[in-house]
Amino acid sequence: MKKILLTVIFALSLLLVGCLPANNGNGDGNGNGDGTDNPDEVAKTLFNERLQFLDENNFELEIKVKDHQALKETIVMMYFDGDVVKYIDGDYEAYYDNSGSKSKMYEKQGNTFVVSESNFKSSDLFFYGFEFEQFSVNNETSYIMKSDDLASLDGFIGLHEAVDSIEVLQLRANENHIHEIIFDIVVNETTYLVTLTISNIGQVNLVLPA
Amino acid sequence: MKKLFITIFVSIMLLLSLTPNTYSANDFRFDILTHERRYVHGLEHIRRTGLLTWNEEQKEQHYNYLGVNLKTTDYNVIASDNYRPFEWGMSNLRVHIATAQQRFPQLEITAGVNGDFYDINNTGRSTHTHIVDYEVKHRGVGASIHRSVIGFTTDGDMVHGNPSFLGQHLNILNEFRELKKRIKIDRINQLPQNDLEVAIFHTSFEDEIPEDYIKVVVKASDIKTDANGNANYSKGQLDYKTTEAVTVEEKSFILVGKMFQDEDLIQPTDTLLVQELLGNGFENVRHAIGAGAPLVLNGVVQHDYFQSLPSNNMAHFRHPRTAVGEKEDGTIFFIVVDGRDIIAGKNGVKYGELGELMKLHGAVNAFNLDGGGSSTMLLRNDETGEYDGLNTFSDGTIRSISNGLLFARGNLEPTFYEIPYPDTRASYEAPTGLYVDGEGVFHFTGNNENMQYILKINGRETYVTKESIPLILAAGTHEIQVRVKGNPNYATSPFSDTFTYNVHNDDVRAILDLFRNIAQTN
Repeated sequence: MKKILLTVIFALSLLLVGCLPANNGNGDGNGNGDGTDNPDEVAKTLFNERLQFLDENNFELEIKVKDHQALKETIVMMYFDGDVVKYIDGDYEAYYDNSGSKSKMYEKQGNTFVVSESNFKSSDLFFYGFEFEQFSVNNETSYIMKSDDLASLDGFIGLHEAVDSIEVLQLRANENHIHEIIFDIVVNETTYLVTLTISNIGQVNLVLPA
Repeated sequence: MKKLFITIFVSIMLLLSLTPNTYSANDFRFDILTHERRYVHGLEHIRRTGLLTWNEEQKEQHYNYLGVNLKTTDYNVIASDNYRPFEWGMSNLRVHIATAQQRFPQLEITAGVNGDFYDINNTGRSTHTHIVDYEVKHRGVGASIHRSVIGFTTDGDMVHGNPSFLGQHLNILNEFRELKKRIKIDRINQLPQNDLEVAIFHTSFEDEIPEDYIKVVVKASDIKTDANGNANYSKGQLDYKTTEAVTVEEKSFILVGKMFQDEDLIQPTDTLLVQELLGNGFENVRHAIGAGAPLVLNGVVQHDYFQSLPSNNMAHFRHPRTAVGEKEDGTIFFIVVDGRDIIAGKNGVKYGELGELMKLHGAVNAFNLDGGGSSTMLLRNDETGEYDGLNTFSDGTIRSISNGLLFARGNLEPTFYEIPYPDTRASYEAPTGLYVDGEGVFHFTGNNENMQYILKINGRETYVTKESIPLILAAGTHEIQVRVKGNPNYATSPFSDTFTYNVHNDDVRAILDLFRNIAQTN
């Protein structure tokens, strides 16, 4: 009987040991007790922090399109300052004012700006809608969109009928924020490499043309 | 009753005796077998086959007509060639058109015909005068009833006849091809005899030009010589000035004269053009080529002249022919008659038959051009962009020729007008407000009083007369500037600020449009 009890106690002890949380930390066994030592949570928090600048919506965006076949690069610039966005392509210049219910475009034509209204206005387009769960963490500074989640971009690419798909989308981050979004985009069955470079966060100051 | 018959008989005999023994127009008849008429690029094109009866002979004929009114349209007639610097050259009319399109990018060349006869034994030099955009590249043979010159002014007037040659002159043109000064060349390969004289020395002068004389050494961009080796057309830019003794180097010429001590007279950006000055109605001719016999003058077909030619003269034989004519209303037209294919009914025509055909189409004046295998008539095909041959090339293929006449649509850039020297004109202000709209049309704010501009795209300049210009540019980055062109009263403006215009292919534009949607995100 004593043997049976000892065996039961030993088995229960083993079970109790088996029920201890796995130690995936630094090996010292000293968790901080606030729950963020869950690596997914840590990564998610960091991901969200790195995209937090989009809330302020103040940054520069360089759009570089590389034609693999022609080996030609096209570069245009966008400047974001809250509700105001500026688009520069060579000496072409346009401002967008999103403060109202409709978006207004101010297009430079010579020495004046011509104003037009657009019924199109959307939210959560492209990087504004990125969520941690859509990405695999590649390393500390790189995220790759899961192939199943590329379908989440269909609403965006569907805005232009010539665009077929976006493939292999990667985010690159520095210590504080996402600074590059790189992906292949297929247009009329031709693949182009697009690199979006984000810079000058919080330093853009736009004033709508008078 | 008998008296009446005698009176009638005598009257008829009298009438018959007074009738001139010449071929009147009544002897000519053209019975049309097939006829097509259409308008292409604003040109009237007629293709006809028929039976031409003349002088009791009847032959089937095939010919094409192209014509347009230069007074009521923006069409011009320009001279074409494919001459190269320091040499002459021959090429077919399609190459002429490509060359002319490079020379005058603002013009739309839609059609053309072959031009003057040429020296087949000597480099393809045209027989008679050849003028392209006021530049007298060849003065040709002297006055002759057998040969004429057909010239066209900027206003669309056709000038014909034989120009007088008033000697070589130095034309000093500034960078805008405005005529700063025209100076008569007094001596060729001889020193000036006094302070007022100007001399030109060519490489044919092998000795040293002595020191002390003021010399302008010109680096030539082109020199053209006639069959006797005389350089009647020399063009270049200032290399250096000197009073030292010099010899004439290859591809250069030297101007000598005391007037060149004026430091401002010749600038490094000036073009120095030494060429023949023409008179006898050809003073303002912009484009000209030599032509053959007059076919119609003042509405009269020149049968008397044709009959005066020896019996072995080409005038009396049927060949493929090309002719140019002008109508009373300012229409200029070309006719090319097929020949040398009798089985196909392409018999070719004699001078008299061609003259009657030209008159049939309304020619007040008409001239024969080179014919035979040289006869060529081309018309641009909008679908292919190629220039289709309208006539049948009797050689079986298009022949290389010396020069031609082209129908070109657009505005001819004002050049060669005299400006004051020294230039005391005020300048126009540079255009502003450059932009390209969503349809690819370039706009700017220019000068309301002088809507003549030089548009520069990636360094290439084009003359334009509008402030809104549709651009057809390849994908890439283009640097655009514009300036107001000068005139005798105002100098050309500086260039505007540069407008950088990016042209994207459809795919890239689709990508960029996609991202512009993000600009409307909130």
